[in-house]
Amino acid sequence: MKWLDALVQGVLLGGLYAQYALGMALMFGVMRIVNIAHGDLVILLALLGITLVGVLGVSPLVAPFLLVPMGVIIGWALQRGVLNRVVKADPLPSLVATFGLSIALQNLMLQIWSADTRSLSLGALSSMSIELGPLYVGVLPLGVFAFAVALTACLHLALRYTKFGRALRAAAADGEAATLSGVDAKGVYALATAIAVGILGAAAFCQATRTTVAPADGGAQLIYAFEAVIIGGMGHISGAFLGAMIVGIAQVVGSRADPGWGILSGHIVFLLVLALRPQGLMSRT
Amino acid sequence: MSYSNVIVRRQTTSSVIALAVSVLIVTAIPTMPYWASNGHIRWVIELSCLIAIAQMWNLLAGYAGLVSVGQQAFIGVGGYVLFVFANNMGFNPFWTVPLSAFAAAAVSIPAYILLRRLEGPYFAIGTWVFAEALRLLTANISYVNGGSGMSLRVMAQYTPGQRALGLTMMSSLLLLLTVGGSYVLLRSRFGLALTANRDEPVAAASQGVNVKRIRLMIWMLAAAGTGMAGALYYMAQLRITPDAGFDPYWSSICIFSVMVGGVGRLEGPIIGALLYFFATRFFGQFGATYLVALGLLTLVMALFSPGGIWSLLSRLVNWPWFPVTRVVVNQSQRAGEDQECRSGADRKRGFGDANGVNGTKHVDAASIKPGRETYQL
Amino acid sequence: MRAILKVRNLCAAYGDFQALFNVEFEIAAGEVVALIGANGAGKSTLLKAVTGLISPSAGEIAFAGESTSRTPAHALVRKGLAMVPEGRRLFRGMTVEDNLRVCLDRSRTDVEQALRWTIPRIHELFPVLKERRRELVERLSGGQQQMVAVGRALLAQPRLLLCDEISLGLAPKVVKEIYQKLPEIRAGGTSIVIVEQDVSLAKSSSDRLYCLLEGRVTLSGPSCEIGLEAISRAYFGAHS
Ligand SMILES: Nc1ncnc2c1ncn2[C@@H]1O[C@H](COP(=O)(O)OP(=O)(O)OP(=O)(O)O)[C@@H](O)[C@H]1O
Ligand SMILES: [Mg+2]
Repeated sequence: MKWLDALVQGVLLGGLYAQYALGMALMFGVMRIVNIAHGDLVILLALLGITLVGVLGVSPLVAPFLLVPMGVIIGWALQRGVLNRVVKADPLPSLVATFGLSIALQNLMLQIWSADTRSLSLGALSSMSIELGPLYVGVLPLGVFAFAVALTACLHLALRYTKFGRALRAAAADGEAATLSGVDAKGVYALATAIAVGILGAAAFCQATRTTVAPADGGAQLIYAFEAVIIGGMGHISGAFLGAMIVGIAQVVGSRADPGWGILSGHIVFLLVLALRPQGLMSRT
Repeated sequence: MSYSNVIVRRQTTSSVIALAVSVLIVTAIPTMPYWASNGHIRWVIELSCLIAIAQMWNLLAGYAGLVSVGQQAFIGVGGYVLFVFANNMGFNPFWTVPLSAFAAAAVSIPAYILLRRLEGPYFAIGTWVFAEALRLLTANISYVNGGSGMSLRVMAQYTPGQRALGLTMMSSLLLLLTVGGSYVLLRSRFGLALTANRDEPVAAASQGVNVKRIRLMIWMLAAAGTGMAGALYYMAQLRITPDAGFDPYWSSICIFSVMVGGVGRLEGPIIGALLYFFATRFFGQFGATYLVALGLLTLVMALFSPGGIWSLLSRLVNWPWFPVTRVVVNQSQRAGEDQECRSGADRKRGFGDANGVNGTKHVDAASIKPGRETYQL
Repeated sequence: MRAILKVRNLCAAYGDFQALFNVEFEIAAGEVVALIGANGAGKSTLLKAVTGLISPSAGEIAFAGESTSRTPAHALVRKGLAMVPEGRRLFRGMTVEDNLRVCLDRSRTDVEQALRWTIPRIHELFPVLKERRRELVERLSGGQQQMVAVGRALLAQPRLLLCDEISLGLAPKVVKEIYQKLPEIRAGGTSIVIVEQDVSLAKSSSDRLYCLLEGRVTLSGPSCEIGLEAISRAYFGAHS
């Protein structure tokens, strides 16, 4: 029973990681860029959300409706202002630029919010749980998970069946040919990043309500997202979801075995996948 | 211009001076215990470590096309190997410092085998995960005292004078191996192949340059240099913890130093490391604000001056310290301007318009008879 | 006749290497023009400069009477300047149908309804694309892929269609099949530029012909009036 519970908790935790991973998979799939400040943006949005809820005195449930638009704007500006200048075959400029951004953001947050951990309380909802067979499952984690599933499905369908999705896939496959087909590649990139960071707005809400946030947490979130993406298969939307589940399960099961081994087990599973199936689980090749 | 009236020369006045100064510095450091204060000795040790790790990162990113944000893995391994061998096993701590370099190189091999399949930016994050895994692993091993870390108690058996002498000698050796070693390496046939591979990978591959082997070699060498720096640094600190030894901030230092100083040039990391060191001395008191500025500076450099300070400087004056490329002097116009020859394209990746100063002309290395030197590996 | 494309004094370079020297190039509305030249002569470079994929170092390009220098490449496509790039450059991992639909633009109102290229019309032109529309594009044969590339460009409703070596690597029968469609494409008022290695095919399927040699135009004129002798001199240079 202990292990079944660990498995379920892992899957639910994976729901949170999936939200970080989707945006990263999207950005890498389209531009071959990894934004090192990805995790720091989650934290920034979460802290902004917590502060806004406090200042405006509104219900915490309003937060996602503020955070997602903020994320979209931040993402769009990030792409237009920074990343569009460094989309190229050489990975160095984009990595260094986002790395610098990450350091700056982290320390800026440290200054504004200090090193304390914070969270967003949903009152009774935070501790509510339902009985699922032999297990008790928190309503909140379940909601986060359900949202992640819906998000993955929407993103998957949008990529497949909408005009924007086709333009995005075309720009990902061959930027020059996409331009020749009338696709504004830089505009598409800006939208992709806007979506990725917009999702982080939702993720930030989930993170702040499920657990806690502190300015220095960004690096860890980036790494979990990255592990999920690689385990699933680079740039694959549904792969990223699956990878997130695996990272979540590995972490929870690991920590039940020995509290010091939680996050480490996630890393070990990641390294094992790299050794045994480096193209990722969902990859066709 | 036919080959007969071409002389290939690599030294310039500035480089002869730089070489002399370097030799002077490297020989002067071990004499510091006799004339310098303890504080200054500590400065020099830390600075040597910073220059070394920056230079190693520069080899990776500037020449092998490997971007790592996990260099702290090798710092930590170097440090811990020193502590374990000297403290737990009773080896002479000073001799263990070079040994740490080998240990770091050994650890770097499985890392490379696991991560090499990841594409550019993913490779970078992969190195970070590797370092994180090592950090957490170390924190879980009771033999090295887990998360609370170790103290280098064996150092108590040496007098402060002996310690200072040993540390400064190791600093000298570290600089000699990392900076001098990079210089020698880049001027060798291997280095030519490396530069050729960076600038024209396709052409280099067709000339028989084995790209994969080059990358692995550089990866291991960089790990060794970084590991040795880690050992030296923590020998001076006398204490190590997993959180300090495997701190991602080490990679931040590398990236800042190299990108702001100038990537793909030997001079860049030295300038960058000096800048970082003194900036931290003067502005470190501002804490987070200072780091925000550092981060923004890195971002701005990546966007607008990918060649760093060194390439900006080179636009003003062409005084290379460590020229690894050849200068072709046309005999008939020897009194006139020197012609700098670089293998293709430092310019291509925006790394250095460095020597593209007025009056110098780029000659394709392949068009100059290589003499005894060839690209073949 | 009105010129759809006018290129004046065009120079273009890749870094230090100059690939085009003072090229003059003009296409009238409804015309089929062949562009020939040895490998590395600069044919693809000329087409890339026209579509805005590379920016010229000097010279003027006017499409439909307007200078293109301020219009980004993707917007030029929307104005009716389409290209079938060298090597097809299809979107791998996408189906035939999706490849075509990337280019489909329903917002264009400047093309008459009857002359509009639609996916059913592309299917009529190349029936095999209808059969295989749900397949991944990389599973198609080279000839079928080339048809997708042509179809994709047509869906941009081009007034000028640039075809870079659409016969490359294809069996003569397939080449013939594709070239047979040119009159139908042209019937809608589309001007066509074909870059072609097969000189006699280029000559027979075009109204006029340009020959490039090392980045310079060495010959131009009506295809039926130019002899093979003159072409050979322009193609290989005077001394051969
Ligand atoms: N991306 C590039 N970078 C550098 N030089 C290039 C590039 N593309 C083409 N060139 C050079 O420009 C010249 C013209 O090339 P271009 O591709 O226009 O020739 P082409 O006439 O289309 O030849 P082909 O028949 O082989 O397609 C060639 O010498 C080529 O080497
Ligand atoms: Mg061509």
